Amino acid sequence: MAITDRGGTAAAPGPRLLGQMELVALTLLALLVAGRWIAPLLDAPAVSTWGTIFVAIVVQSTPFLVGGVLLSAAISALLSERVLQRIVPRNPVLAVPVAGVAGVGLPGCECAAVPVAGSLMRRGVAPAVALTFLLAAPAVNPAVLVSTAVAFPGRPEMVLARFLASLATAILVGWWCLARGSRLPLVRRPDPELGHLGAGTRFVATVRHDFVHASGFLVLGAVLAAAVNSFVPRSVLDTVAGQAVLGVLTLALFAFVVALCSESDAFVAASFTAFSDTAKLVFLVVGPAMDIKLAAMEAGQFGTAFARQFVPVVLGTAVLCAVGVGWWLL
Amino acid sequence: MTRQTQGLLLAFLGAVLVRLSITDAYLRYVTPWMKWPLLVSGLVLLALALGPALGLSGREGPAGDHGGHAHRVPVVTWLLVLPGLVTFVVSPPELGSYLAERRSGDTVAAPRPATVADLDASQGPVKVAVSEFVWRAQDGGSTLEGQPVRLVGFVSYGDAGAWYVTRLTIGCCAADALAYQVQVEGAERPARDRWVQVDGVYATGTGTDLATVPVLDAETVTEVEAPARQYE
Repeated sequence: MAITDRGGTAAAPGPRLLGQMELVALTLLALLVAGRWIAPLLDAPAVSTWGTIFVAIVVQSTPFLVGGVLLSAAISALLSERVLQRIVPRNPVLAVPVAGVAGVGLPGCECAAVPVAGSLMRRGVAPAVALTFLLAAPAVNPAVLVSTAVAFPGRPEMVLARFLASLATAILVGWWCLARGSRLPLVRRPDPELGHLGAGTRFVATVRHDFVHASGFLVLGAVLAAAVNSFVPRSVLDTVAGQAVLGVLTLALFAFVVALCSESDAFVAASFTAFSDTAKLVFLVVGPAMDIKLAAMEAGQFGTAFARQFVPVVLGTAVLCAVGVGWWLL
Repeated sequence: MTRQTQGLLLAFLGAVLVRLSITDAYLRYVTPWMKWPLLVSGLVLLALALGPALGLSGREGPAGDHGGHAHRVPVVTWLLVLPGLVTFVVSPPELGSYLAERRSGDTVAAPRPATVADLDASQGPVKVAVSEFVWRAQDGGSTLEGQPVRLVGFVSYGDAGAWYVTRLTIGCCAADALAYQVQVEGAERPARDRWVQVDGVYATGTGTDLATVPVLDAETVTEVEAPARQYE
């Protein structure tokens, strides 16, 4: 990439001929014009397949992220801390399962949930409660459950198992966060300093600030997930399909790296015909709770030190809950 | 990154979304219902980018709009240029035989509707979706037997000279694409990714379990234009 001016150091005083924006604009323009000569060099089926999947993930997720930052700015602007304290139960041990069930009400994708959880924390909601909501919202909402029912026709127990295992994951991780309390290295980004602005201006500035801070991580996740999707052969999966433990672990890892939307992952899970039902359930429970795109976005929102603890705990809990529920119901 | 540069990157991404949604190029990547969400979110991003320039959101912080920034923006925010560059420079096409052949190991259990209507071939070959052909075969194949059918799809290759008429389905976006393949017997294989219309009759007993691919005994194979919506 031709962009090297990445520091963003303070602007030099006085007028300059070319600012950073002008340099970036010229570079982009040059690349777009040179595109007709660059494009044939990249004309390999593997590269264009990567490109299609990369653009697809970004294009699919961006409207949800825009919706998420609009919603989170609305929370910041409209819900005062007093109102939130009245809605959220005072006892956090009780508030965690309430937040889990409240996830049913946000039929969006996981990208929308990250900024919303961030703004709930900024409004004084306990981190454990906000994180429970973050884990539950993409996994147990009606859109996801309906698509699971369509992908597994005549198997209502699959829908029930997914609902229970995902809810259990969210609540258990929430209680873990509660138990860790202040030992959790959570970075709570302060509100951008906008106190001097009017309400409308502050709303626009918050939306912009949240989007700029989250979207780069979304693109990073899409780059990696598209690479896995187009370069790692699926036949790698089939060699372990027959083995119970290895099958579960493989599909858990696969759910993490391919980062599918929770609304469509059931169709992909249904196509793993060689795997056990429990392994498919693990795929469905791990994917919405944690994947490479979410891990990147959470590292951006809450800090890298937090993500290093949170990501493995969520993965482990999701696998155990799915295996437990799968053994019981499937 | 200065505030102006942030605005430029937001505007670039917003412009990409708006352009994809109004040119129907978005159908290469996502499902048709995403058209309006894409257009609206693209316009929101453009408004966020251009707002300060048009004086809508005023000045932020003492440094104002002249290259000032309130605090550091993550380095990965630079990646926002990638979707636009990839879209405009590479202009990635619909997924095709490369993906389908890599996925050929998976046999897809096709979701079938609750009630199965019989095919009516009294007016020549019945046009059947490739995924429908696959689930009718997996259903036992009795509703296909002896019926002349017409399949439209692109060409993908298998082992030992075998070839398939193939369609991909997407649930949300191209990342979750599934490949449905019907093997064509009795015809020369065309070039990869060529769109073909194949008239023929189902080979009884093929594709009834997930371990095998259904086979179509071809009568005619005609090359056709790719349809506007390439995903089924």
